[in-house]
Amino acid sequence: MGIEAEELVPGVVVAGPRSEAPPEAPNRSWLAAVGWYVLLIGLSLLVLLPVWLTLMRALSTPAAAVKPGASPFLPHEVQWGVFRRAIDQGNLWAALGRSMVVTILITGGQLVTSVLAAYAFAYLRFPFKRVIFALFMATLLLPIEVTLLPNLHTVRDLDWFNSYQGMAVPFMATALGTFLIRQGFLGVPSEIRDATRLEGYGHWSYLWKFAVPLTRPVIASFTVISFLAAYNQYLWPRAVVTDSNNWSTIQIALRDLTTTPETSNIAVAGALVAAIPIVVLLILFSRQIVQGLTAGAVKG
Amino acid sequence: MAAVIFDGVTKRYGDVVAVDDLDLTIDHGEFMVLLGPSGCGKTTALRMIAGLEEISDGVLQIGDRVVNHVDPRDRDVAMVFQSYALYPHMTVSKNIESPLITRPTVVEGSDQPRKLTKAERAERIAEAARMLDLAPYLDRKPAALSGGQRQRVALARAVVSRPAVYLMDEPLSNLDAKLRAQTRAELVDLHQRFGTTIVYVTHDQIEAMTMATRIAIMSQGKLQQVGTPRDVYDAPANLFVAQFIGTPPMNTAPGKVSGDAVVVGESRFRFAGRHDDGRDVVVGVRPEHLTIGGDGAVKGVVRHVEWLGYEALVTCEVGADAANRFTLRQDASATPPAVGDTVPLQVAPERVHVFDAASTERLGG
Repeated sequence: MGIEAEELVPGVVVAGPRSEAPPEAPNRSWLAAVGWYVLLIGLSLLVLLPVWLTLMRALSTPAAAVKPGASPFLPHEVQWGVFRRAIDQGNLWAALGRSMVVTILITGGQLVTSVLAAYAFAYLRFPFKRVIFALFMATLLLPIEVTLLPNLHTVRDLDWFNSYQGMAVPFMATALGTFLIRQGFLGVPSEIRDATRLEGYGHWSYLWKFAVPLTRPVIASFTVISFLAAYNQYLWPRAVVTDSNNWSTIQIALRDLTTTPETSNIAVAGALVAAIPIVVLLILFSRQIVQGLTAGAVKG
Repeated sequence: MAAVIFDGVTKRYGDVVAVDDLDLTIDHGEFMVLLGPSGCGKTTALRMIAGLEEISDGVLQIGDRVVNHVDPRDRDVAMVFQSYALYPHMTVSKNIESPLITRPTVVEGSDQPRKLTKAERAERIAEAARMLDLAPYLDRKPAALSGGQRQRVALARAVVSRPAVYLMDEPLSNLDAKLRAQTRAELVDLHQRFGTTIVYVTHDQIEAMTMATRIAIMSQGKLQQVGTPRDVYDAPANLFVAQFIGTPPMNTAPGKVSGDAVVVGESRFRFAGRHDDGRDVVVGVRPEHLTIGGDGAVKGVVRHVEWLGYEALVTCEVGADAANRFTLRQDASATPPAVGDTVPLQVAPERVHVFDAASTERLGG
């Protein structure tokens, strides 16, 4: 029986065996697809709405935006120069640069320490391994406020105030990363480990040539988590930066972006500028993030 | 020469003995199949050869070397795993090349192993790919290959370093029946071409019977019998081997020796040779050696007939015990008996196997 093309709805041609398929079936699947797209577009708009409202608030003159009857969804008396003013007034590019340095140091440090610790917990045999791992995990229960003062004393004693190492080093190891990557390593089939042992790959080469590439989705999602947490840090930089003119990170610079009610849109514009690296990160790593978040959730 | 010698080798996991005092010599160039049911210790024995499991007791030799404490990479063995263990992030070419990168390899004209140059590695990859029909797929990743192609990549990765011993852990179990039969023939062909020692683990007796030069049958960590496929089929060393090899398995029933026969109920199975009168034994007859007819020394009540197209399997109850069921093979062209019929059965005395009831070991003849 030949396959024939038929026009079920204007402009949509569906190929199929004319006499075998019930005539309603293609229509129903077409409608279902449209329904799904409408739902997904609606959800996407819902997620994007706060970003849009922020953009409108930044572009609008504050006085015009709060006038009775002014729609929050549209700009009012647009000020295109607001972003330039925010960047100049808050010295945002410099602060953004410092934030990027600190974030890259923390993320890179966390990746290296987490991968190494995860490897030890996943593959090596040593005394009290389970107890040590449990203690490691227990540190997840400690909020930053608990460790703030001891860390602050240590950094002060090391004379690391107003320095990159002061902002980054205390956060270069994390139990969360160790846990996530260890789980990823444990997911690598044991036969692959055996095959590499037979072929003569030692711990170091197995780690970098096999374990890390095979857990790339997990490592990528942890990278994003780590990057976001490091980039959004506020309390710690605030504590160890006393020279905010020369050492403020983007989050501190935003807070210092002094505004009056008449210029409140400048702070909003500054927040949008601060979000640029995060948006870039999400665009670059979107595939890995989705893979990492859904790893093991669906049958492959 | 790369014989593999187990000398009293034992592997214990805590109180559990996985391999118990194994004495086995696998000669150079042999295709030795370790056969047994799940949990019999065959894979553990194979992994001990590979160096992936430590040996609790005994001595293991590969060639002239005791390898108990030799690192896996230095044993000059290659292994094909049940799941193939291909590296999913590498292309077929990189997978095949992998063992050549880290492991020193013996090259022609020299006894001393050394690391190969890039050009030598490329030559070896091309040769392995040609041998296993993988040339068109060298740039693909394993996910883009069929099951059979992945299996061939695993084989290519094993042959590329030309090891002294190949170890194979149920490498055909993930293939469909047709591909399995085809790959069996290819493995035998590879063995004949290389003449290298192969130790092959399986629970599938068809694989064992069709490929092995010798079979080592294991159960509960112990070696039950070693011999050619014909040896283990025709003269099983004990009741376990008798019932494990053969489909349908050997018919067995407990009885007593009386003169030149084993008496089971009112039936008398005549045997060749001599056994002590009154001895408690188990009699065994393979289905293809039992036929309908004869003098009626053995009688059975037909309980079940399975017609398979090319033959019929007729199951009869022998003696008073309903558990004593004997299956016989009947040619498809013959008219099968009706269920409930009492039929005479006959078997040539030299085809009757007799096992000691207590030890289950084979008795003479």
